[in-house]
Amino acid sequence: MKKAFLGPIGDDLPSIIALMLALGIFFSAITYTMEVYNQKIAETETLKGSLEIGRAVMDKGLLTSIDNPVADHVAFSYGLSHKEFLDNVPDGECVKSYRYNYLVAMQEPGGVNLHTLIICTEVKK
Amino acid sequence: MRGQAAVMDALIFMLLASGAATLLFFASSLYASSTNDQLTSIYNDEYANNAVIALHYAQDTRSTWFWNEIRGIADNQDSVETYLNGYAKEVWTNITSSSPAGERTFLCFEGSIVPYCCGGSTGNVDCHLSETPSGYERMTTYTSSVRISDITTAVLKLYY
Repeated sequence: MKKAFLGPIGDDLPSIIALMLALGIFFSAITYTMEVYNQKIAETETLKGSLEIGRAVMDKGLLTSIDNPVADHVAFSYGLSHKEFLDNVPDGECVKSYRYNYLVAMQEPGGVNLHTLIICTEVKK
Repeated sequence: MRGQAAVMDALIFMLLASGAATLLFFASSLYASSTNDQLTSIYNDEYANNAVIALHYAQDTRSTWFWNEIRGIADNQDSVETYLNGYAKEVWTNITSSSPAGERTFLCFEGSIVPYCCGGSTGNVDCHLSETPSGYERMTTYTSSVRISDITTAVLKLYY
């Protein structure tokens, strides 16, 4: 039995479905990859920025204050916000941030004391 | 027959597209992971370097400089162990609580003396004769060292 002629598209319909599916898979993969790629670049930049902020804060070895204008400048250039805490992080802080600890010597009224400096960084919203 | 060939071509194309998509997924999962690992390594090295610098300003409970005291007793591991569990207990707490490696942080002594490493929780620091603490041989180490005397180098080691 001879199959009826369905037209130029109708004849190739099964192959068109397969082609569209293949193109769909391919472009979905590209979109997903670009999303992951951008996400990872942002993550790497945040990590780099966090380390730079740490370097800026720790620059002098002996700290007199945890507020550091150079660290603010570095954070701004990386598009990050940062917060520094001594020894403990209050509840609700630093939850979704990158967190880096450093052992620091701090000049205080009673003398020099060792503390854990916790630097929390996150991408500025 | 022409229709079957077209379907076959489309299936082969779909196979190729699936292969390319798999490659893309694979590449995206690996992308930047080594960079992030390197950044984590840099952080650990920087932590160790900064900690060794901070320890230059550290004083024990008798207000003696930490490295000065260690310099005098470094050739005797028992004295160092007693010191880290006693007068320098607070200094050791500061080290382990701030370290990203936590209690897998060790203070080791090398040079012309028999090498040994001290580590453990606060008040329970143990010193063992070995350049590497037992059980940590295959772990990744991040170190920073300071020469505390002509014959002794103190090394802060972080194990992962």
